[in-house]
Amino acid sequence: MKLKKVLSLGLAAVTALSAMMLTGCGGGGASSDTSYTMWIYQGADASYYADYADNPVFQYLSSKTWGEEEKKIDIEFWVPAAGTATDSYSTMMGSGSYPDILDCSISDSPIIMYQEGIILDLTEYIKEYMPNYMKYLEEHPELKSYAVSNVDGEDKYLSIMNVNEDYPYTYCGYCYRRDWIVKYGTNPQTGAKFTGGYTDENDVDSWEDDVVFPSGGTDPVYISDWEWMFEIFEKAYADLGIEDTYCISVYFPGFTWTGDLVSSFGGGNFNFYEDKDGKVQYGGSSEHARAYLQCMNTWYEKGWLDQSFNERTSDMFYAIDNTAVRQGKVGMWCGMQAELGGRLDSGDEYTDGIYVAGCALPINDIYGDESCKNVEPDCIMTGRNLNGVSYALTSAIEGKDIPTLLTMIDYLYSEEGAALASLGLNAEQIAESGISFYENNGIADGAYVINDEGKYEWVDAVRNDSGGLKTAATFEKFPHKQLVSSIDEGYADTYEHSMELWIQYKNTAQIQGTPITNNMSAEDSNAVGDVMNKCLDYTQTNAVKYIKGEKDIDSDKDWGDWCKMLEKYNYKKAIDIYQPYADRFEI
Amino acid sequence: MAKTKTTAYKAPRITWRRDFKRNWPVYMMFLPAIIFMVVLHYIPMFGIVMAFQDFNVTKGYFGSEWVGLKNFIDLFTGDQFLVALRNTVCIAVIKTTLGFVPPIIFAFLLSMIQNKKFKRFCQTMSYLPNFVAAVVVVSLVQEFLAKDGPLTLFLTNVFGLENQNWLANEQIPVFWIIYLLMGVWQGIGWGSIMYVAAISTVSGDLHEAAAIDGANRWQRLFKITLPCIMPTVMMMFVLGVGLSFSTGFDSILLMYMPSTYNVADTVYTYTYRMAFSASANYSLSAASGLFQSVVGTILLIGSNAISRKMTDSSLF
Repeated sequence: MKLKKVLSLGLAAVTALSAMMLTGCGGGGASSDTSYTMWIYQGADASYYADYADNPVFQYLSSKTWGEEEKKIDIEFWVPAAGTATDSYSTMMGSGSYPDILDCSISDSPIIMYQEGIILDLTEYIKEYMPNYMKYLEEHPELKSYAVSNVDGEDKYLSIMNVNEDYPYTYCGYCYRRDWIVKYGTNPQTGAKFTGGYTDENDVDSWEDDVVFPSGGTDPVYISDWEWMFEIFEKAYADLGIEDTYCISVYFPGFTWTGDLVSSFGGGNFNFYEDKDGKVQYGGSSEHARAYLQCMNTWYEKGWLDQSFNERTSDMFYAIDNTAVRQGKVGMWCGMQAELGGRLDSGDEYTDGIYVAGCALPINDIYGDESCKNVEPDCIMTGRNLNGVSYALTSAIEGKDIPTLLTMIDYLYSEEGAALASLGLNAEQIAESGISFYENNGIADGAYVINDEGKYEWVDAVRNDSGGLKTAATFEKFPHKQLVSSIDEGYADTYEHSMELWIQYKNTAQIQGTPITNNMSAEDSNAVGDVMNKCLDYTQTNAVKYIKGEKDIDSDKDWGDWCKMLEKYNYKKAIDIYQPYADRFEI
Repeated sequence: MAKTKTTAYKAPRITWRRDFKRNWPVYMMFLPAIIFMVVLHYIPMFGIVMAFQDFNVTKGYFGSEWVGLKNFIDLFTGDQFLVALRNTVCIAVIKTTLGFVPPIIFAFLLSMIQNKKFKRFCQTMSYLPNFVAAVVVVSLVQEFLAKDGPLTLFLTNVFGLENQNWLANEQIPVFWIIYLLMGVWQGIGWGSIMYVAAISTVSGDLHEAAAIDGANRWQRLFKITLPCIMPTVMMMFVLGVGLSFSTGFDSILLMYMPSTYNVADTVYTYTYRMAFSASANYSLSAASGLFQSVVGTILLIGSNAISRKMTDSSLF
């Protein structure tokens, strides 16, 4: 009898506790109106945690109370498996099962989603509950057009942007064998041999030399500087007996449609862009494109350009023929940070003593007419902007507590919150919260320290980690302000200089993903998308023929055929659609 | 002598209800297959409507604008469409003719092996490539046929052919042959399963009698084995023709490059580029899929009819 009573009491207690938990009356948990769902494009490295809710920064944030009513917040993260994000997104949108918070990495423009009733107008909420976010936008007026959408003539905040404290370094750019310039080149002014080498054989960034380029500086600036380097590389190949190689390769269609090297020939790209006068142009049939193809054709004919570039279809544009690059057989390539300095030195015949330097995109001073020369590149796909991914609140959140959620998000735009999201928890926060992630991963006191100059510095375990520890320890996949210049990455001067050159020119002409395309109606967006697909297919199919000389880029007839074909796809109609948006919105 | 009148035995009529009552366990076993077909094949067919709409993911099937045949017009009037269609047809013809024979020959060879263990080993080894992902198979082909690939060097050194990356060759029918041989290597073992099974059902008595009459192996193969497995061969052929239009989209997408679009582009790959290169166009993709399904169905029905007329055996 006694046992029965105990059992009954126990069951009653469990039932009551469950009910309390379910209704959010448990005292310590989030209430139902502050329990949200969030879809994110990509999670963290699964070897650290499979559920993004286990992110240590989120755990810390969810242990705090937010808003006037001091509520706790809980978020269930929906993270698609790697490679299935697009399918996951389509299924979600098609079925109408929206999350409360949507990562807009692959979404239609906010204005289209708003008009479809999928996302909410956050204008009043943001103005009232996100003072830190608003302050940042006031301090960076150039970003305001990205933050707001123009709906029927009225500016509305339809999403919340991730923002950067400063322009962050990019992950890739052009690299070249500077050790070969020293060894095989001579000063273009005096004819004297160059000198240079490592000052500390154990430091892969301790390189010093007296290299001067034909343009007069210590870094290559013009196409003529690049061609001067190619001649030196040829001497290196002859001396080292490297056969079947080349000076540079390009992406397999012959160009990257977003710009980059194409943009060196008078600006723009092989697609739609906005010129300096605010006019939308189609670059594929421009004199700039012709100058680019003339240059590539010349390089191909001279053997400087990879003779098999069009066959390397499985290579990413920043890792073309990576095997040959890592074997030390290539003079110049588009590569990544981990290839700079002496990091490719594997002690073998061609990499022994290697020093790789980064350089900016060149400025054309040789090919095409005057409009193609001495113009800084302005369409740079690899450039990074001040703004990043946007996040929207969908109709699914209606009825829930939006002010409390936005108050929590706004905290991540404050100095303290930005540090928390960008760097993870500090030692004090770890001790206070008892979160074990950092201790379990060998960084018991957190992922960073503050150095003598007052800057944040990653601890060695994070800096030396080539996996996903940094991403797992921080809160990158959530709206926040990302610290950039406040973090001392510990880069050597030579290393940092290379990366500065990679972002020397800013992306100012590209219109994809800017307010111009973000504010387009669905109808206009589809119409220009159709034209873009056709033009892109034609240029990608045929550019190789001009580069390889199967069609004569110098022949007005052949070039006329190219232009006529692109005109047939009606790029002028697309320009007419784009222009009113370009007139209304700044990029 | 009185004539005996014979009457044909007529099976008693049985109602559906009575049959179900008697054989309900059998019907129950059939139920999962019906559910599977309805849920995963028939209900999704509603998606065909996308081909006639300006489909927008956010608007869904019921909110997207109806555009009639516009997507089909866009598809058929594309500059590269005719080239893609020609390549698709040629690859399909090669696949259903030259590609159809090797599994049959392989099945004959397997049936000749006397040692059972060795036969099983050969069969297992021949099935393995079928389970290798397309991306791996394509990587192997790329390695073998690269400028310095072993197969290229063999062709150059032994036959004096030009040293080149064969996958970048724009001449007809180099790419088609590579694609065919890749398919044969990958599918010869798997494709021979049905034929091996059919050959094993051919009565040994027939072979024995023929051997006593002096028929040699070739004669027994062509006069006994082949006619006996002809219904299976025809069934596989009909199925093969029906599926021939759906050429391996994934492997071609991995193997081709802009400079070989003229010989390698198929309706699938062309549609993929048109629909998803710079911005997504689901409707065009659906229109292309529907077009290929219709052509596939026509081919299936046509080849089945021809088979029935010529060999008295057909799939349906």
